[in-house]
Amino acid sequence: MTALAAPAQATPSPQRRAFAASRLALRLAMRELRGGLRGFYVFVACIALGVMAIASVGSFSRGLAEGLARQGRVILGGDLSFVLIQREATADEQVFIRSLGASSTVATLRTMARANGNAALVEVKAVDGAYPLYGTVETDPMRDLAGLLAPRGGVFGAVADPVLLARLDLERGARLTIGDATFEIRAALKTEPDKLAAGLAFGPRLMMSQEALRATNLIQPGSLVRWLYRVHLGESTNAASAVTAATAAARERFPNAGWEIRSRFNVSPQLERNIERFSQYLTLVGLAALLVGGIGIANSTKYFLDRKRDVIATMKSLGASGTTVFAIYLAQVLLLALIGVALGLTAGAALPFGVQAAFANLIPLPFVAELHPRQLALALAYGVLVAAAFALWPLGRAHDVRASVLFRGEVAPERKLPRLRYIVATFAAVAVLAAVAVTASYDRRVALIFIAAAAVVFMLLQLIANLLMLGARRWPPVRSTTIRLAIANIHRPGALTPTVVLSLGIGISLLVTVLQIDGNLRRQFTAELPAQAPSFYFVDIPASDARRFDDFVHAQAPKADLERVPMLRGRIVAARGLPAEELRPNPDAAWVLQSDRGITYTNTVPLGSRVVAGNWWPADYDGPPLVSFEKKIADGLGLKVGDEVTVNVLGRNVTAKIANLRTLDWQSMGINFVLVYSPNAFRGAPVMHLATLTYPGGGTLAQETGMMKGIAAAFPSVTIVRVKEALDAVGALVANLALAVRGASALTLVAAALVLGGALAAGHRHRVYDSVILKTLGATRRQLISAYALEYLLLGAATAVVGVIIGSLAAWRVVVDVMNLGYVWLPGSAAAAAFSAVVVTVGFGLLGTFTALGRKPAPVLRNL
Amino acid sequence: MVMAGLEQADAGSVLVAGADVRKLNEDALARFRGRNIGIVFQSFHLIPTMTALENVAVPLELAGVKDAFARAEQELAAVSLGDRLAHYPAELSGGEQQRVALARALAPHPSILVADEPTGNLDEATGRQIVELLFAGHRERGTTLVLVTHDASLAARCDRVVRLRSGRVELPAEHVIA
Repeated sequence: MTALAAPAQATPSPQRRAFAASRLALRLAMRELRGGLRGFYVFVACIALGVMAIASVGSFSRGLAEGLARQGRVILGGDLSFVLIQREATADEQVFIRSLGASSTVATLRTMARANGNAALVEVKAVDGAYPLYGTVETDPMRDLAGLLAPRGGVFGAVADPVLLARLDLERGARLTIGDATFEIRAALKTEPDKLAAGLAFGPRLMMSQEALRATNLIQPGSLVRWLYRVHLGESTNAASAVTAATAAARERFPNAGWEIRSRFNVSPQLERNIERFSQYLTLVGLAALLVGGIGIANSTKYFLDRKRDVIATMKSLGASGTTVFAIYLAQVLLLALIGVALGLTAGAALPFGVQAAFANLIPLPFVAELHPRQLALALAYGVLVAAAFALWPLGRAHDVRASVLFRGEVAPERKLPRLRYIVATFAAVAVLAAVAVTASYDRRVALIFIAAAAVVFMLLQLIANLLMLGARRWPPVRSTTIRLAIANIHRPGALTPTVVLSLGIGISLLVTVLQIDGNLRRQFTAELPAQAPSFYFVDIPASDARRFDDFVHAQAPKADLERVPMLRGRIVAARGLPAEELRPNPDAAWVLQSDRGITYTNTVPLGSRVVAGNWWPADYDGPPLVSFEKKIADGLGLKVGDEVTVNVLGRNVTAKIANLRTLDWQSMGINFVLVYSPNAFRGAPVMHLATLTYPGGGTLAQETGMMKGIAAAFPSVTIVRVKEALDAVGALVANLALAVRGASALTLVAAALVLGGALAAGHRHRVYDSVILKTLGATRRQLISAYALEYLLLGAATAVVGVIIGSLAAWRVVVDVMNLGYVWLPGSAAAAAFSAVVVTVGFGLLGTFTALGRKPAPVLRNL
Repeated sequence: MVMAGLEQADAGSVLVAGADVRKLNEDALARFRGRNIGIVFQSFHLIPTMTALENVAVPLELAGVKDAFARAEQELAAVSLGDRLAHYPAELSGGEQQRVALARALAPHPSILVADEPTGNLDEATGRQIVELLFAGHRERGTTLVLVTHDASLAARCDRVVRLRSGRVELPAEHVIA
């Protein structure tokens, strides 16, 4: 007898043995893969789809952030910008700003433009000769901006957004009035380099010179004019340190200026945060699509290994250990996962380039299409981890396929669970996946909630699938063969039930969540608010005109409710003895510190407010300034009754003690202020008034248009914001964002459809066998189609009900807890999602069944 | 199947090539087979995605043999398939497939060669060729050949016959046909 050659000389180290084993597994895996990707298309597609979603969202998000960073000085209008509200910089401050480098001053305010007996809200931008320091203003016709704005024949020039021209029915050369000045429209405004820095606009832009703005007489003490002083720091090699030095110098020289200093590196923190936050939501939705795809991955792996049982058994009979077999198939699955990941990454990375090429002019933000290795690496990690998390379990079962399979088709019962090491490996992959999701997220709390919710939904759906199968198994016998067949198909071994309930269930849950949140948000802006919300906000009502204003409005609309309060603007500069920069607010309260806020004063508790801590001051209070703080914001800033808050108003720091905390209903859209002062705090300050007008049952278009024209003519300096128009502006933004979220959510449905398609394809042979045997026994095609249709209908309907319940519950928590809004269940969108679940299940199911039914029995029976 | 460690006996002990296979776990059994047992199946059980050469090389690769492919080539030449090395199973006739399976079983030089109805899926002439190769392997290498068959004339060529009926040995040992 010849002895078998020794496996290797001497005793190799464990590392060398492991390396040799890996090489062998890879070599055998590559040979196995020659069989092609049959049965693995769904596997590859599921990974590619999810990875593409995550890679493209990451690339878009980074592209926007890069765009903002690179275009920073253009968007900001300078390297550094000093923003003052309601006051111009003092002579000293202006000298300081000019000492930093070339500078430009811009003033912005909202006001009314009047022409042809009509009035429209406009966003005025008054520029000096140096504007713009960076970028160019494009006009139609293209002319020198200063020349367009200069007075001619005693009339100032203006450049207007074409929307304004359409709204007031004006053409180039026509005239309009702002405040006390008349303007000639000299050109239409095409692009404005620093438009983004202005934030959300409620009206179209009107550009004029600062000389012209002064001629309008709208610059009054307390009127809402924003002064922006931009500085060009020069082409320094170390721009960041130059910016930091200039900012520090400004803070040191003018500690009480109350200005907001922004740099080109920090153009719009709010916008950047919103992009981050939004891209995180989209990434999580992409991850949800990947998780749905994970079910397809698990199914594909299981079907694949089922087909390979003979090969596995042969390998084992030739001396391969369970571990070797596992390694061979793990290598194949990883290789296929990498193919899916590569496809997804390619598509995800290419998508931003395609969008930029096709829609460059439609993207409202500066966007740089580039390859972002970090985002792509993250998408790769998600792809590989999801593949591992879902494939390890079925792969682990390959370990225990017995060689005796070769002697008889089915072996004695296999173990139900894979070996412990594969269970541990699966949970480790899930844990790493969760850790990556949390670490990479902008808001870890949201990521944690997502992971917890995903885990609960997975377990819940698995439980429901088991219950459905149990219910079907225990269903009492029915006479109808069709129904009996359908019910039997729901619980037979290899039934579609777990696949449909899990994959489609997650897809529908997510879709219902998104649709319900979207619908509730839309309701806030359309259906619900106008009924209780005011029709108008009137801003910048001079205190001296306040009484006359009241009389005018009451005469025009005797039944309408007019509420008027004094208003100033101020920035919180310190609280609890700490500068605002050192306060660590929670994310829900951070916005209060980001810019100036409206503040008011009154002797009585404002309408809609309720004092929940401390006491309101007496009507004749005359002690040190007191302030009432909104409860949630105070909590977010870590403030309590008795703490001191310093607010810079009109260049003066006013420190007041918190006397009480209030809750208020933000949704009322009435006059709500975070900060309400005791009247003595601002005695003698130049104050403008803010008013709201609410028609009982909501105003008609005629009423509102009439009121707008009347006020614009009688009070030219008062700014009129029509709530419906403002809500339209916000609503349009929300609609665009919702579209993106719905688009991403639809991917989960596509993934669910893929998974379902894969499961049906895998079960095709079984269906063909069933239908051929049943046809041989006398079943008609109609009976068979009815049975299959009923099976799919029952499955789809059950999944739809579960998905709607889970999705509605999730949406309810998000709307109430995260958005702080009231939740209304919207049956329409729930029904639409449920309907799509049924259509997908029955549609795909029957599509797969028709081909099975078309097969003639004889050839199939011969080959059984 | 019990002898090859493919099936476990319910009780007692099974000593094969000096090892009690009942005491070996699944992985140890796989290694035991790799070292000691070669199996030829009725349905060949070649791996469809591998060429004839690769199929024969697999057990040698699994055992860590360095010149696995050179040895596999020799084994295929020994069954007259030296010109079919790069063919896939689907490109081979039934007889050729069974010869590849035989080369694969003999390649690691097992001490026992188990052939389970090796001619069951073949025509008579091809079956004869395979049987000759099996016996040649037994003769030339000193390998113990365990043949499972319904063919009495084939059984008659063996040194010893054990008849099984319903899972039980039917005849006592002294009734062995010489």
